[in-house]
Amino acid sequence: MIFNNGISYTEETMTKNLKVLLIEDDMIEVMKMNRTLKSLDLSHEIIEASNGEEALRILEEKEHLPDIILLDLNMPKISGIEFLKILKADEHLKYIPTIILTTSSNHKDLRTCYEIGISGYVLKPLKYEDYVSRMAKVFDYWSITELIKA
Amino acid sequence: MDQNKIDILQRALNREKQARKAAEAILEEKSRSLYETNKKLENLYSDLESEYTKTDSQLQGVFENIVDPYIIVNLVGDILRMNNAAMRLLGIPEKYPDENLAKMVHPEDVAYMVASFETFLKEGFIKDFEIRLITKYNEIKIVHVNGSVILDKGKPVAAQAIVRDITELKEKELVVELINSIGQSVLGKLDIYDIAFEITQKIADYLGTNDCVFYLCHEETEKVEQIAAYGKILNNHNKLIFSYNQGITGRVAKTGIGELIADTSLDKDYIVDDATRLSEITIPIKIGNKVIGVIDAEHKERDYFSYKHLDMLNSIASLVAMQVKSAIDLKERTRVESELRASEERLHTLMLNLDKGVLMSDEFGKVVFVNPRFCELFDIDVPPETLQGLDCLKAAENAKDQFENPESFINGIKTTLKNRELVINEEMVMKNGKTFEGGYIPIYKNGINKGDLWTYRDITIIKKYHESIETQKEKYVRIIANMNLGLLEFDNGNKIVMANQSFLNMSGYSEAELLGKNAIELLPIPSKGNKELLKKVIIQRDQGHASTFELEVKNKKGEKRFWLVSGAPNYNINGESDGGIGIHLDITEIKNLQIQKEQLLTQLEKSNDELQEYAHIVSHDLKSPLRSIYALIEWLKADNVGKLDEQSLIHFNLIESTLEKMEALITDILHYSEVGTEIDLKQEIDLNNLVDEVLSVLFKPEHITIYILNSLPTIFADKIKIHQLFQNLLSNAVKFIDKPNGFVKIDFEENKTHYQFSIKDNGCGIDEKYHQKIFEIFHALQEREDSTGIGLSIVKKIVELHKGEIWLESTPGEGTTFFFTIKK
Repeated sequence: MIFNNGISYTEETMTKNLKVLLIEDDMIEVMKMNRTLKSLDLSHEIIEASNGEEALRILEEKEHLPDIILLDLNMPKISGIEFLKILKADEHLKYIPTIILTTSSNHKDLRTCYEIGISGYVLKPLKYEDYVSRMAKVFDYWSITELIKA
Repeated sequence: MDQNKIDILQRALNREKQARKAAEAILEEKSRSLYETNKKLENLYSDLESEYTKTDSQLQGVFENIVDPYIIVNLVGDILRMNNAAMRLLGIPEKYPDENLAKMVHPEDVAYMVASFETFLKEGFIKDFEIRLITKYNEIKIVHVNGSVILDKGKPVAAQAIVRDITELKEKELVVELINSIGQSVLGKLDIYDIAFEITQKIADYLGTNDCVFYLCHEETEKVEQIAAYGKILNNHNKLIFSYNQGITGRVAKTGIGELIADTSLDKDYIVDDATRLSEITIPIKIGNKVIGVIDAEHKERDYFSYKHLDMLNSIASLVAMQVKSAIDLKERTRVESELRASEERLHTLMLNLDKGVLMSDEFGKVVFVNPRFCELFDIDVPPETLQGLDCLKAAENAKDQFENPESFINGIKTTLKNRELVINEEMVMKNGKTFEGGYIPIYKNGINKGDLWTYRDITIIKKYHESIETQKEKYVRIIANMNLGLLEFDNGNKIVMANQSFLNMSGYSEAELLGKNAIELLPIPSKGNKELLKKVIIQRDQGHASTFELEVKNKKGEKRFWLVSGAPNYNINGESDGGIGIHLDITEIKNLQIQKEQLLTQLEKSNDELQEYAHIVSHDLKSPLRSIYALIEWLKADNVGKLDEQSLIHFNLIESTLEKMEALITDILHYSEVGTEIDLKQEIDLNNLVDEVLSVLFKPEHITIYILNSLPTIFADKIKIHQLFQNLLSNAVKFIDKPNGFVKIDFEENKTHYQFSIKDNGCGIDEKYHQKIFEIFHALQEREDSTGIGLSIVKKIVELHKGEIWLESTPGEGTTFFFTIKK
């Protein structure tokens, strides 16, 4: 990036490691995430929650608040959208950027999520290599984004 | 010298001496007498002098005491002397040092005076000179002048004159002149408008008002009507008509007393006619006590008119009264005559065009008059006039055969003539099937029969009309009794007056049970909705409006039924509201079906939504495992690089492509299920932009060119769906091109109701037997990895949602053109 004074900065100097809460009930999806981070040589910290209730329990311990949340919509017990509603209604937690990670391109879901307040909506592609490249972009973006530390 | 001569000379000298002495004595005598004479003369002169002074002062006294005004002025008009009479005339008090006569001359007469004065100076005198003066009292006086120039040593220095006041004399002359001229101009005139015109012109001239109006009085209507006005031509549009209690004119017409209004602004009755004027004089024209007309004049200045004017106009009014009266009478007579004539003509025309045949006979039974209709009725083929003088009874004999019963016709006439009493509407049947109506009126004058009037009228049509009305009435009565709709008639209090058989069947009540009952209390279920509805219906009925409504009722068995009711107000023969009529149809079955249908629709909607939701969940649930399998295969491949043989790798790849196909299938099913939902047909779409967007993401090999042949329209439709429509059709077109130089051509045309699009390719083409099938779901013609067979089903569904049609033309091997329309 070139500024007027001619000094240039490289992006790498600004990346940071993120604390990521991954809410996903599918064990293989979790494996995909972990393997992807490994293959991309990224050292972000993944906190796993297999459903919304578990995620809420984790979020109650305020010291361990994540930087971002990756949320699957189709889950048993509390659905992704219900979880999102609870999150965004919370005075403190509502500042955590939440990115939806789902196979559903349902227009209604998309609109509802943006209405409640999400920071991204990423479709899970079929092909694994496509998945890896998408995740790389997501982490690239969020690791250079300024966040509110709760 | 000779003595003789000396003697002679001596003697001559003596003689001369003596002669001179004598002459001297005479001269002395003469000059003495001259002196005396002179002396005498001197005395005489001084006598004369004193005598003259005496005479002059005597004369002065004479002038001062003279009856006529006497004035001496210098050449610029300054008054040098005048007598008392002159002072009175001019209104100058005792002293008059600075008065100037010329300045008192009426401004309009100054020029005349200046001209006359020059002649006066030249000729030395003036006689019978008349001029107007304005006196110190501000009165206008007309004076008569006789005067002479006073000379000093042959030069004019002053003028003296006797100046007599002839104002009154002149006015009297004017009055006489006016009366004469009005008398002359009015005399012998018979037209009231001419007379009134002359009077107004003459009076306006006399009064110097430029305004004078003549009104006629109409006692019976208490109106005054303008019939002439000075300097104006009146017609029906600009002539004024007042009532007796309007204006000063109206007042005078009412009271019969002439009035002099010094200041109209103080008179509450004054009304402005064409301009506001401050003085008004109004005079009635009377015959005895009856006011027949009013003369009215106005002047813009306050206090303009004098009592002299009032007297004057009163005299004129009485002078012309008789003349005006006879002119009015003449006008009235002319009007009555012309009305009488018109009335006669009308009567004649009426007779000629009357629908009745009329025959009038005199007291001897001879025809006096027959109208054309009479001849028509009885087939008489000669002009009506030719029947005059014919004997009535003979004529009846000739005509009797036209009657069904000739003898009774003749006898009827004979009886009527004997009784001579009024006969009205006697029906008689003719041989030709017609029906006539006869009437008879005897004509009496002073109790003596003067003739007869016979009338005949063809009433065949009227008779038939009445008969047909009866038939019609019976027909409707039958319809009402037998129709399948319940009919109910009720009075203003909603009491049932009539119910037909169908209504009895519908309600289950007998006629006796219904009559006299309140229709609103008996049948409708007393629910809140029903009550409000009936209240509204009754209000509408009271306003004269009909209404149709559904009503829940309970029949005699207590069953709940739905009736469709059409109610309308009913009127009696005078057009007064007389209750109402209701027509009833039992729609319980239809109503139940409708309720069922509504329930079904709600259910359907709900299950559609559920299905939609279900499709989403299922597709998600199906897609997730695919992703897992795909990832696992990838990992197997990655973790075993070099350990797997080629065959295994091929198999792994086949698993992957199968997964991809399954993914595409699930996505398409989802799309198909989504087409019908959340549709918004009112989005404005510029199709040029939309097609550009589609083409930008479309996979297109190098050897294929896409042409857009026409600029595309802007339409109102669902943007997402139309996007999908073009995407599916265009990707299909591209997909099936098997030629080395491929093309896709997009074209567009429009008609009144629809836009029509076409997408043409030079691909492999489609056999005609598949032209319908390809639109069915899961029907892919070719087994292809990139085709699920759902794309065209989605396209068809989208087109149908936009009220359009889709079809294709194709030649196998050459290409395909898809056509579709979208409703405007």
